[in-house]
Amino acid sequence: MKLYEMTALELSRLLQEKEVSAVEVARSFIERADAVEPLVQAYITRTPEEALAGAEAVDAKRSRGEVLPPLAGVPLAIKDNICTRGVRTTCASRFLEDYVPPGDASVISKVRAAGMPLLGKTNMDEFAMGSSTENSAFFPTRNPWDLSRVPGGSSGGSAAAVSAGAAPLALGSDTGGSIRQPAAFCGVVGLRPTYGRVSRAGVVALASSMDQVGPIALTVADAALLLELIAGEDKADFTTSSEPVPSYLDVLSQGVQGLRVGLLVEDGPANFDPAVVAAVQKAARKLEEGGAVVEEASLPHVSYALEAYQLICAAEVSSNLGRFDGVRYGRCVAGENVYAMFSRSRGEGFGPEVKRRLLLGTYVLSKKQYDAYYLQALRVRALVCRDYQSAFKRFDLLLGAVTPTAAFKLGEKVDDPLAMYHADICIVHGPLAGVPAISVPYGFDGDGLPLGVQLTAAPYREELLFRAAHFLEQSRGAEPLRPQLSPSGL
Amino acid sequence: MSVELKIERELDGLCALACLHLEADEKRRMARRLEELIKALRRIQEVDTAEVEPAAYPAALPVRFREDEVEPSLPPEQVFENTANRSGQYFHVPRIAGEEREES
Repeated sequence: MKLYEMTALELSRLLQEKEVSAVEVARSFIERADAVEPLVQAYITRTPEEALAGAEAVDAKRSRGEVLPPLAGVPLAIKDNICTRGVRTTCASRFLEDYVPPGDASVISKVRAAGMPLLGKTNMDEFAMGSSTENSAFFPTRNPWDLSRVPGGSSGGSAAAVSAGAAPLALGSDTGGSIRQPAAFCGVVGLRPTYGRVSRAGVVALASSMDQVGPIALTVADAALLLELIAGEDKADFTTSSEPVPSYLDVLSQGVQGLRVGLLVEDGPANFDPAVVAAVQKAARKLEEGGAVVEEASLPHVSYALEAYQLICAAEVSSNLGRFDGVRYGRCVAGENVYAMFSRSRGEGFGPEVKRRLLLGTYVLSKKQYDAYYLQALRVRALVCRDYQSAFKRFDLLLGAVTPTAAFKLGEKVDDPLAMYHADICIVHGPLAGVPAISVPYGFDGDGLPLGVQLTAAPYREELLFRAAHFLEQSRGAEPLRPQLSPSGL
Repeated sequence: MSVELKIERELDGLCALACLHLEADEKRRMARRLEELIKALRRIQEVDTAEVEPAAYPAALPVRFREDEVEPSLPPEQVFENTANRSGQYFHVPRIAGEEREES
């Protein structure tokens, strides 16, 4: 088996036992990325020199006998909305095409301190607005399982990189499903942590009340390792929690005996692919076989969550994007006065979806529409939060779909924003309530494309997600899913 | 009056508020898209929320205080690294005082 085919946990063990060097590992992923990038296009910026320098530093420390963190020497790909000192951070936007942050995001400080060599910055929908990575201002990323299909979004580059073996682990961000949906489409594991579990400091904001950074990995164990590293309180982000971070890896094998699992009845409507419904039902049966108690569960207000999410997200976007004026950084277009300069810089720098959400947010926050749209959305959000609180009095976990279908074709929805938004119907309600959720590969559709199932837990109960997801993963067969990457799908 | 007409009429004002310049053909497309979106999102008004307090965050955030601590600022050379608008130790912008805001 080649190094780039191994999981992060396997690599970690080999590195600790000094059977391979960090440089060998980094080189293997760099060479794999050289080979697959012309097909997949997962990265916006690759940093092989930095990765090798980081790996050399790890090898030097290990040869001196230093005890290093478990992920030391395991390379990492990073979504391009997470600031990296000295490496451009574009958010896949023309506006930030040449922006080089003067500092690292808090999560990047943590992964650097742990000795993870950084492979580069991955493609995404512009400012994380989208579900297919087609809204990148630079190029679309292709799904390694079928190059004519999208990898999902907005963290599509991160999911595709891990799926294609161009990185063993990646960081994504999830505001309304942007980790879980691409993970499902690419046959990898994606976790959205509890709101407040991981610092957002230095992550370019989309919707600040929902944004979270999380791991994308080949296996549940790998995701657990990376979350354990990046989670925790950060004085630079006052919304982070002081709740202790458990050792997630230790609980993985505890099984699901006695866990109460609610099977979401909302995730079985007629417009879902029957293969998706079948995958969720099969997962429910497996959990029962493992000793879990599975009963039907309902979140009555989630049928309005898509609207609430879109309204709240747009409102927060219109506020957060106010910082991009072209003065201190970013694209700057001259104007006869300062407002003309701001407006033209933004008009040239932002793509169509960003402009749409910016204007929608401005509209719903305007005096005449505020109560009817924005405030109403916040009230519906409160009802969704209540639904979750009630559900978690009865259940430890909720089980449902991640997406209504497997990965769709490139170009299929890009001109139809409403259809694109609908693709997120199963994943936007969790972020409204701040709850953690995991997407784990489980089955295939009729075209051989991977499907995911979603598990959701109460706030700060990520360890339950890892236990149940690991159980499902083992029941599926412990080997990670690997696409037969070839240009034939083009 | 239909929503459609209203949005088209309001678009210039929204662009001014959002500090966003759109070309003429972009405006027409944008008005149509926004109309579709707002029409679809209006469904949220079906929900009875008369007794519900709005939730801006998923959970009540604790009020946390910390000591004021002096920390080093970014060196000016780093601050100006990403701009072409440097003038000495300042950012240079077109004249602000006395200018009327562009409305379209």
